[in-house]
Amino acid sequence: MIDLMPKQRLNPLPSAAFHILLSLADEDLHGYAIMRCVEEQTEGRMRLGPGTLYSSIQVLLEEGFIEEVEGNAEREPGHERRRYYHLTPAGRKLAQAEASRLADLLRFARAKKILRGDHV
Amino acid sequence: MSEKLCAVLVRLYPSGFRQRYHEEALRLVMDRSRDEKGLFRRLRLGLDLIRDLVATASIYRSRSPIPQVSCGANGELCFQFVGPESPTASSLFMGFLVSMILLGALPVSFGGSASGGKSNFPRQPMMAQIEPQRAEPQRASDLAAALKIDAAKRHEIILAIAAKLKEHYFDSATAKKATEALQATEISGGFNTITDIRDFAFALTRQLRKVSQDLHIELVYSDRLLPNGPPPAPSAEARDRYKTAMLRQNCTFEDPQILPNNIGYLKFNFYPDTAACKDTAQAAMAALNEAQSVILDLRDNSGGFGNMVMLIASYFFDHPEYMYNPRDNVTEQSWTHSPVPGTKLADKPLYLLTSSRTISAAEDFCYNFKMLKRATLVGETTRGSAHAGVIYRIDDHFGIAIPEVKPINPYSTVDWEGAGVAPDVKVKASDALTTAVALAGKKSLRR
Repeated sequence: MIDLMPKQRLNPLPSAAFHILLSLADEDLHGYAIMRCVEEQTEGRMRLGPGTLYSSIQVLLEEGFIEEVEGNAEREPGHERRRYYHLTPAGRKLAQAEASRLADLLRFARAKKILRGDHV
Repeated sequence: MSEKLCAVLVRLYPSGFRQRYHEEALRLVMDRSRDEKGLFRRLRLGLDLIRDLVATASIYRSRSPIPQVSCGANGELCFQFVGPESPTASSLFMGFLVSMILLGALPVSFGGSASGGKSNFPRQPMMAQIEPQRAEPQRASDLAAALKIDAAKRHEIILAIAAKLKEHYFDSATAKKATEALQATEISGGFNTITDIRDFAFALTRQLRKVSQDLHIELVYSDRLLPNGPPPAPSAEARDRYKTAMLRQNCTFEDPQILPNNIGYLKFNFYPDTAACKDTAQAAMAALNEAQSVILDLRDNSGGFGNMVMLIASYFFDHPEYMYNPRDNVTEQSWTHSPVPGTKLADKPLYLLTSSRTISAAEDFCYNFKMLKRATLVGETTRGSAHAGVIYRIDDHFGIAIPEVKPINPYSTVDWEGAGVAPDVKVKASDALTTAVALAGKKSLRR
């Protein structure tokens, strides 16, 4: 049967989707740049393959958390076919909410003495 | 070999994924292979891809309950989901085995292109419908040199483009404007940093499209010899291959369904040639015949053949109706074959679901039905690609696709080139079906 109800595919927010939102917080990026940015922000622990990356991007696009924008041809001559992605206000809110949830979790972990130091 | 091998690897991804992201996935794998050299990094890349393949197959299996296959018209290698069930253990094992064999060859195969840093195979043109001849085999060093472009060659190509546009483009003012833009960029040195012939083709295409707002203009570069004259008609064997490939995926028609309130629902992702798919289309339409209203889901429809547009359109009118087609001048083929004997759909409410991915022939369908006020469009504004291009040869490897006709549009609203077809009810594509079902349900209660 056809699913007539909007899917709650981002609740809970998958780690890959969260990292993609974070990577777009400062600037619009194309797929490969997102992949590299995520690799950098996870210190190499997460290298998104094309399937995971674009499946996540598709869901984020469909839910309105990111949007496609035209790339900057002057910045990258010859790369005009690349699709760039932009974080929407809803996407920024979602990333903030997730970051806040993780911060709460870290505070809790510190209170339980599971985690020490000044992480939060 | 590198691009070919990457292409083979990307073809292992589920068809639903490739249908939308094939080009991006291929580019990402190639970018990584370009930047990640050395045995360790290549092995890591291979393992990353295996992991990603498994994860993606799992995502698409859970997302797509309706079998959906996308094979090329030439019947090339593709994965098929023949049912909603999970693949068997033996299928997964075979997939794993093939992946391992291919990835085993990865470090060796990528080694050949390491020195150049660039692929030996240029990107394939998107819209060029060409069956080019293969050039004589060349050594990698010769090929790398052949891919360089200097100022003189750039100037020569720009001059040739100006001449071809002036001669063939249907809108001489736009042709002039586009040509002047290219020349201005050249004079200001905007192309000076581009030395790769493929990058040059992409940069010029982008600028031409930006100025003309016409997505069918394209500077095409092919490493193969471009043919002199129009491509030959497909052979009987090629037509058979096309038909077999289309039938294998039910011509992209998903199973018609009758939803509550007797709403007929049909999703199809392409308008295939009626020569191969007429029976399939007729069977799908017949399954909707008793419905009180109809929803056609075009959200993933990537266009196709005008004859299929006319065949499906014919079901929704009780008299021959003119369908504007920006790619053809008016002929007797411009009218639907309505009424279709036995059909009960001619006066039934019709809803068309659209998305930003709905493109080309699917937009033609949406545009006409909207202009005729015969359907309610629900979803997002469509992609905005209307005109067709004919390839004009510039030299052995360069050609330019130019739309050369602009038939008279009977409607006061301009066609959808660049702008897309706006929906009557604007909602996110993911909400379009729910919205259309609600609209059709309300209408059905009033009837």
